[in-house]
Amino acid sequence: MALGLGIVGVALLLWALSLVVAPSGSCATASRFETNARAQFLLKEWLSPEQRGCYERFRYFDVVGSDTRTRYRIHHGTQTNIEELSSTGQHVCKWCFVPYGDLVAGDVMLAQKIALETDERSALSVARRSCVSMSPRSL
Amino acid sequence: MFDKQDRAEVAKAEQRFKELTGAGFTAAVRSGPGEQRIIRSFDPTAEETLFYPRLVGG
Repeated sequence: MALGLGIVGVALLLWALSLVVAPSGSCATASRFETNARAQFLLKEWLSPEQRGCYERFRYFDVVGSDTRTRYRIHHGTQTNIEELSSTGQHVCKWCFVPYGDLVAGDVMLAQKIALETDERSALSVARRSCVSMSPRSL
Repeated sequence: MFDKQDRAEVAKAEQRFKELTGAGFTAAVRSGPGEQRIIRSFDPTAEETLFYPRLVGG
């Protein structure tokens, strides 16, 4: 998960990483459940009201890239969950980049949001892009 | 968490900040509802600083 400092605080995206060394079994399962819940809470705290509303309803939210102003849709998940949208809202391609480590979906999505909204080019420079060409359907 | 009035705690938090960013973590603070900015140096006045590991292609 992510790390946060504060009364003045530090929040760290490391809750999930700690699970790597957690014992197997029910404790680890409970810990994973708790980790997911905390990550979801943190994510929602960092989303704008519009993003939060969209995420709660559709399990995705949109962000605007800091450099190109391109719109991306971040879907709930941890892999290939970023969709690039055209100016008309059509699917263009998918992107995949994640913070290193075994992080839960909430933490991954929060890191993706921050990266795209603050340093889009750097984020995409490490990302894998996948485009699936859609062949026209015969009617 | 640390008390910003406590110099020892602030120093410890700053040290932790340096350790994490030195290890490749990115530090971000909220600047408004749904908005954030990346910070390169420790900000003791920030209400919350979030760190995430370096990004890799999926």
